[in-house]
Amino acid sequence: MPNFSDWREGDIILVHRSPNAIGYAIQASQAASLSAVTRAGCICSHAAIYIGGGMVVDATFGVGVSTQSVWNYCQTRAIQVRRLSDPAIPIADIANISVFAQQHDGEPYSVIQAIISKLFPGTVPIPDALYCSTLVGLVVADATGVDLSSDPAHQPLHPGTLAAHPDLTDVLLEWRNL
Amino acid sequence: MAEPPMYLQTNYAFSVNSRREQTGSEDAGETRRVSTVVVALIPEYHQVKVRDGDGHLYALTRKTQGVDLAALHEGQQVVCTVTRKLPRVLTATAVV
Repeated sequence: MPNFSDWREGDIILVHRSPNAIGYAIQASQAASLSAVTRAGCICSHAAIYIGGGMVVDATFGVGVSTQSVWNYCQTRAIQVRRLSDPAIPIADIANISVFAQQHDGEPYSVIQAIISKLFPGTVPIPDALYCSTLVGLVVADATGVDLSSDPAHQPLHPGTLAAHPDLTDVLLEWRNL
Repeated sequence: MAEPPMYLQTNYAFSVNSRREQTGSEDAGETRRVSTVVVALIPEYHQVKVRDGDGHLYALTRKTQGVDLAALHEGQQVVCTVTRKLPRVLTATAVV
């Protein structure tokens, strides 16, 4: 399993697409995106926020915003850990990403909003109709003031956009035996 | 001998962006002023989304100085001071 010691609260977890029709559909839609950034990361189909202790907060179909173990993903799917790490952003603000994410537990997930966002790239997030990347983008902006969807090439945010976003840095993943 | 499950064979760490964490300093103080329009009020996340003429989105948050988020409405013009490198609004002024 991953060595969590290098992970920080507020890290963004990107999950490789699932090996089913939905996973392939998400990958295909991102691969067809007008955004080169989203196309570059199209293999990722899910985004979550690391809150420490091997747990993430994410928005998922049928569940909404919830807290779960990252192990639910990484035992069968590839993951990527990315971080907003810039000297201009206070460490406390980045840690607040984790705190603020947990405050939205129980909010709904919307397939419709996810589809609308793909059809109309200028769509602004609707809190009543979240999908995984919307949650990540709104919480990061709330905690740090950084709008990851600022550039038109990053609108709307998709998992693939976050996977290749130039303002995020990669955290090297180390693995250890169970 | 039977092969182990695929997830045990492969190190799943991967990257689609080679940029690594930076440790150096940067021009954090470099800012510019942009004219924007309010396009969404998102009180649940304590922010207001504004868009400039080039299509860039910015988030006015509870930390943004100079503006009362609760007093803004869609379509309202707001002048923002934003950082160049990371899209953060430092100060904002609503145009009456």
